[in-house]
Amino acid sequence: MLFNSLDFAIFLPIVFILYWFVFNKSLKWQNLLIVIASYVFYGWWDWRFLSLIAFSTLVDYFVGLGLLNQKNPKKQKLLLFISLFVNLGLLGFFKYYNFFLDNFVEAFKFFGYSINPQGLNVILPVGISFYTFQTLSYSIDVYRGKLKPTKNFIDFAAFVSFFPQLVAGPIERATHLLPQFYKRRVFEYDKAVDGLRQILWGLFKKMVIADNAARYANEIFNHSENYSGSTLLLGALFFTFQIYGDFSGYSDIAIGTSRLFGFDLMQNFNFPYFSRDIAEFWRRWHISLSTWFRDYLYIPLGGSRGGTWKKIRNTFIIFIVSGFWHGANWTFIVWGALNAIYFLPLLLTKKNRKHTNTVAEGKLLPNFKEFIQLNITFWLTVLAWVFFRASNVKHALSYLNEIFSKSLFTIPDFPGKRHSILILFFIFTFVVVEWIGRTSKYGIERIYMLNNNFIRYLFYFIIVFIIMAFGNFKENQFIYFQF
Amino acid sequence: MMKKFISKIVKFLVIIILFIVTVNYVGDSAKLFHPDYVKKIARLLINKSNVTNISNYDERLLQKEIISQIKTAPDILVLGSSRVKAINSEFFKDKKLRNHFVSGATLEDIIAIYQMNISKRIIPKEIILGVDPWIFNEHNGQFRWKVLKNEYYKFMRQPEQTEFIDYDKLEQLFSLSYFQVSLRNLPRVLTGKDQPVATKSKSNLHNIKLSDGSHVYGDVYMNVGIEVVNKRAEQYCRGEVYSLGDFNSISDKKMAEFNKLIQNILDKKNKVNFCTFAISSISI
Repeated sequence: MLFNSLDFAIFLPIVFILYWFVFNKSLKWQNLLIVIASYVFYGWWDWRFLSLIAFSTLVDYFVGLGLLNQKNPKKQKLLLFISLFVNLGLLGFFKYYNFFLDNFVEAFKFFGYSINPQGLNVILPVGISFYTFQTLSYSIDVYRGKLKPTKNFIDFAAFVSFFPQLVAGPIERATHLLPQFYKRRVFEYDKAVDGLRQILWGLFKKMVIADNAARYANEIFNHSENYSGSTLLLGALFFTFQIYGDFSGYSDIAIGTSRLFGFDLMQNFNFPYFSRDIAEFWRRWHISLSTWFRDYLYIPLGGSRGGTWKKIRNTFIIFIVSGFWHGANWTFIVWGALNAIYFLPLLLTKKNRKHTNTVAEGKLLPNFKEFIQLNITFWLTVLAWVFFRASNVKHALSYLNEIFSKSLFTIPDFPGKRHSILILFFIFTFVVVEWIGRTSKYGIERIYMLNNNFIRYLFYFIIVFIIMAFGNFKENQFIYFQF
Repeated sequence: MMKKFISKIVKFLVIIILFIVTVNYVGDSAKLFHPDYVKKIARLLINKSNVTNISNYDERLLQKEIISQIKTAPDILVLGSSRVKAINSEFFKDKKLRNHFVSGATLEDIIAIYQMNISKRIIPKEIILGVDPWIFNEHNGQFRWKVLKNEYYKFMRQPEQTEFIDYDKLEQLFSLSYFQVSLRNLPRVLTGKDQPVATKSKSNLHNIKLSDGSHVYGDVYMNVGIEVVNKRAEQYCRGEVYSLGDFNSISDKKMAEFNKLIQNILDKKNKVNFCTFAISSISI
């Protein structure tokens, strides 16, 4: 079920009413409702893959119980290995099997051997990369002694399948989300209103910014051979806002929906395009994934401690694995490696934590230096997104090659050029609103501070109106569903 | 607190829904809620005027309206999709022609319009039938013919369907997609600029429907440069072939219906000419 669908618009109020008016007698019943609702939500897409979530839930639940009762370190390690094997195995089987197979075939071909093994004809279960990582965080944290495992299966199943963030995150840590299922939730008016406001902003990002930008990004990327460098640059720019609007919009809707049910999810995006260097960008982009890799991969590898080569190695590993997590394609690996290259000079000169505050805090505009830093970071990101969006590495290279040609200095020309000006205007307005709200958790969070009810409601109506008038109602899937 | 929350949401939603319904009803880009619009076009055409300043109305309803007002049979009847829309009286100087094309016509449309004609005993001597490939595709994705479903069922000798509530219209009243197009049409409605205009001219900046039912493209559309034509052609070729994207095989059912139609025409001792096209056009 998509957040931007009529199905969800009917589903959400039903679950909300059942949750607060029918199942509110006990915590156990509320959690059970969350499990049922989550399975319906996921099964709406494809009920067959519910068995995967159920299997992953069962394995990690019993691994957790096993770790609780087991004092032998070797057996504890074995239990953790089982969790890693099952979760990463599922991920590897559904997501990476064909990729590795194709590359083996190519490698054999390179050495003059021709093999013809059988590939898998399976679709990638939606959200598998998200919920497997979430359950893994549980097993690892229990193994590390950071979290006491739960004995309540319903609580655990609700944590794994919690529908707002089941298919595209934020990837919650068990230490943060699971305890929320133990506590009785009380309806809080301000929290619910804030949730609705964030949902509204998320829908705006998805339906107005992302889906409209996608029209042009798709046209330009899919037929890049027909376009000049300037058009291709514009296509990359459209994709830059498409992916941000799409993914951060999803996160906003997920976080907002959770708040309606009394839950707090972690912030997943913190205005990443207002970063002064790539290190800051990665502290602000897909935070739940970046911190997951930091805590469960980068730090165990030694992090930024040790010699220069170790630092370089760890940086490349984390970025390449992060890229590969996004999809079984060399484009994602190159995208990850390119970001590692962007990041390394900062790490090696120990400037990677230089910008930990918000840019131009307390000021209306950035100063000249900040403006240049923001621009350099932004355009480096735009160029990196070309690898993310292109169909293969060759396509990305030819795309970039055309951007850096004489044709960059021509006037962009593509179908629907006139309408795209309106979309660029929306993107500009969106950037302005996000800039004003950049110290908040999401762009319009501080609207509640407006004391004048009329102006506040007028603002909401304007956003609703823009969504209705210019939004895309074709129920376009979220990009991150494919990951 | 919960009561306050729900009450505010309900109020907010009611205002938004009312706004959507109002814009959809007043802006009404496809003239679903303003049948007078189609009646006005039909009246002008029957009175031998050409009509311009028309857009996005239900062409099937217009055919129904025109046929209900026609008194005499033409010599030649043209049936088919917009690919036959340009066939007009000037092609047959000594004969009286009536063109009943509808955009994206399916076999159901053709049968229904033919049925409406024979029900009124309008039996022309000759029929020009536009045979588009998608009329034999059961998965052509066309549903517009449902407006004429009872006429189609009548010809096929199937029971007619009566609905007290037009659910399609009701859906459009609340539709956000319809809201978007109706909103764009709203200024024209409010300034009274969206009404059909009678004209003697056969060429104009914008499209004209001639009194014989045929169609003349406006100069804006006709006189575009070769570059624009090439671009549109390229764009079209990149997309799915119109109504054939989901084509598996020629449908036996459609073939049988087609044969039944042809047999019916021949049984009445009329002549039928097939009009086919080598390539698909952009404007359907």
